[in-house]
Amino acid sequence: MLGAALACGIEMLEALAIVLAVAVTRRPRDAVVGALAALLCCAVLGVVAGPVLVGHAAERPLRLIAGIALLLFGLEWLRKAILRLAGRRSPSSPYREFVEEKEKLEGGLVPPEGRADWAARTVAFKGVLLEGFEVILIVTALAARPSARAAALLGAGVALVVTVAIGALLHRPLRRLPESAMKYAVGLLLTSFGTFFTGSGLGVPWPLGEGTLIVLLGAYLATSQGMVAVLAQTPSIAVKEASV
Amino acid sequence: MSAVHALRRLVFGETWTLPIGIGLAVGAAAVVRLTTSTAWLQAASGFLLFGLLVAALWGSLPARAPCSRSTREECRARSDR
Repeated sequence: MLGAALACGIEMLEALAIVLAVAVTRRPRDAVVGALAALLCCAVLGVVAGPVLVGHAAERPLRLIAGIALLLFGLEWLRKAILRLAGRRSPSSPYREFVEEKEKLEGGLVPPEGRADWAARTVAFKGVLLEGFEVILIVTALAARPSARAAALLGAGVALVVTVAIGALLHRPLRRLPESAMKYAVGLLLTSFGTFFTGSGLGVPWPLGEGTLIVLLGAYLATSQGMVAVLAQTPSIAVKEASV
Repeated sequence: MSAVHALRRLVFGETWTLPIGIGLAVGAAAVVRLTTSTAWLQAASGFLLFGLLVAALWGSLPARAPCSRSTREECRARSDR
């Protein structure tokens, strides 16, 4: 449940940053219309695709597919987190996304009152749709085990409630969220689950059963910290060029 | 076109090294799992999967990546030491 809640929470915060930027720069109504249309699309996709995949596919192939999907997301988040911790990438921040999106939108003309602002609606729609698509993939993958289905859905529900509450309190709290650390934790969780599911899908007899998840989590934490330490000691291209 | 590009980045990430590495790691673990009958070798295929995934992650990290704009000063100081 923690993995689903954290992963979904981060994706939803990114979507929220885009919707808030549209609402502040253009009109709140158009931002909400665009976001609601995207949410509707995501809900249809989740209701149709989720149960079909989870209910009809055989358990082992489903675990393998879910595991590979989790590995694709988890390892990518872990890669970015390692680069951030080593100082090779700017820290992640939904507030910065909000500011960047706001700056992009400020140049455009706002249609007169009473007419739809399709540019604003499209930006809000696209942002929420892409992040929502990622949420559906993660929740479907985590719900691949029958015992974890309720926990994954509950985690996503908790994330949705928290994100809506943050949105209701305006954009200021976005500044204080430690998003880089949260993304690192999610990367570790998703990668550990992904490795475990992929192995189970291949028929690997894990020595400690589900307890192997803890071992994998610790092993990924240790190796990723080692990578951060090595990468932080390596001189960068930019510094090399500057010192010549 | 930008939507397709965004979707590709969303699923496969910023680099092709990682998805290719994941594919190779899963493939190698599957071969070991399916071609061996010894119990300990079958159990070892899980650790092989983990090891190859760590290698894929390491391979996807740019060894000499530039410092990010926000940490450039810190990077420079580290390089001077």
